[in-house]
Amino acid sequence: MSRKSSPDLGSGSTFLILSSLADGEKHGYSLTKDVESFAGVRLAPGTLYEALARLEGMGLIEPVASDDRRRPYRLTAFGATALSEHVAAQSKILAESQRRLKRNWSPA
Amino acid sequence: MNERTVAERPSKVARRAAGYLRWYPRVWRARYGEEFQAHLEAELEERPISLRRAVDIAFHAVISRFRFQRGARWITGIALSAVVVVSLVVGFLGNGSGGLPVPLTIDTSSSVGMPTTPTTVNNLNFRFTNRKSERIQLTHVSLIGFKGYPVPRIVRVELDPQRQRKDDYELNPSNALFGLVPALGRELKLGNDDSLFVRMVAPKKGRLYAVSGIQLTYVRHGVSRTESRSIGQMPDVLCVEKSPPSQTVELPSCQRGIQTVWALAQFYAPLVNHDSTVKSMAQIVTGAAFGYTTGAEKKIPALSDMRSWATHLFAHRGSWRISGVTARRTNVTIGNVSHELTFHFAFVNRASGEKANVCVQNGAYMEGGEITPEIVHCLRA
Repeated sequence: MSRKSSPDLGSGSTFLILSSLADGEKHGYSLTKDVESFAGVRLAPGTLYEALARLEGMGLIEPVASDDRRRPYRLTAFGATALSEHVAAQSKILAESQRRLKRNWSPA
Repeated sequence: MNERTVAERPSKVARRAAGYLRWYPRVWRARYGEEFQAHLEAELEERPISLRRAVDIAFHAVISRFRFQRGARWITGIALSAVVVVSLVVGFLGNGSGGLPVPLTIDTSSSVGMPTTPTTVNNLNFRFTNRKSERIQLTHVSLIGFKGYPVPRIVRVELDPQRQRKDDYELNPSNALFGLVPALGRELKLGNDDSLFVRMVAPKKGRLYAVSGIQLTYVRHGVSRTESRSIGQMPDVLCVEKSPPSQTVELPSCQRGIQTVWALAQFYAPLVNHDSTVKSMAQIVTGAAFGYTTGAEKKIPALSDMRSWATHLFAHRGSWRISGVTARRTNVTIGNVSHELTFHFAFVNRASGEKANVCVQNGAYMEGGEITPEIVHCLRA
């Protein structure tokens, strides 16, 4: 049984939620506001909670015990590793894109 | 008039939120209902009207209804058809289909996290906790590593189908294998408090093996699904000593390796606040040094130990470099003995050259208990 690679995080709500939680635990509404502030994307409630359930199932995030109705979520160690690997992979692609644009499409 | 309007607004918002929530099935509401309603109330306060939001909630509520209540009477034929198409697409894509994840969570009775031998079988235990039983076919289990450390080898995966049998095992270890069934490749009926045992070995001497979670692939209702389960903030570590087995409980090189993995796990944990990275680094070095030295039956680390751990952990890691560690005597209790010890860490930012100082006093250390290094004000020498 060989080791599998980290899950593919894509670039949608999953990636945005993990990026937001990388800065610390947040409940649903503060997560929405945070994502809106740094990515300019407003996550609708249904989309947000479907993604939270999926990420929790994947072990990438976990709920934090709270007396408040608003339950905060935080990144797990596995989630942090997966996000870190995803960012590293995306950075390589971005760097390569920039290099090719600069080589072939930069103004003369 | 205005006062009454203001006073009535929360209840109106709460009613609207509750109305949206009722679109979701009962199972979903039991898990997410309260927090989802609080979230919706905040959204409705901010933006009372949003067609996009209503459509989004309706869409996901229908999806959830379909997952949990196939054949629910209120679903119209058109909505059902649309959801079937969407579900088939989602099912085809794999992850995210098949309803909520199977409630299997790590069990604290797992036996790993200590020096072992190549033939010792170590367990990672996962507990199924749900009153309603589930039928799944477990098709694959793999281990998720940590920071490039190799993962142990899985030798078998087994299910303890009844909590009662586990109680029997704890009372009478000679019945250890009683009732356990191979879990891979066959349909399992998971009932409340059943346990899944991932049994593994660390095959090579002198190697450090680390596990941060497992990945499960299973089939439920004809849909294959792959999920991960974290085992918490701290990875489990298996270490096989190079030297022949001895009678001592603490094995020096393994002990150092295990402390290293746990210290790195703390450093990479998302709870480390970037605004106080230097404080976290100082605490991690102190914790690792104390954990190692007390494990080796020394009472407190020497200053050279502290410097050695600072280099070992952070010589090439992080945006700050530890440029020096000094110690001064203050007031600290270790075990039943009072010591006076505060460590002063000097940092230099690798990029900007900025300097920072952090002082750590090792708080009360109880024998066998947690070490809690505390940040204190640095006093002038």
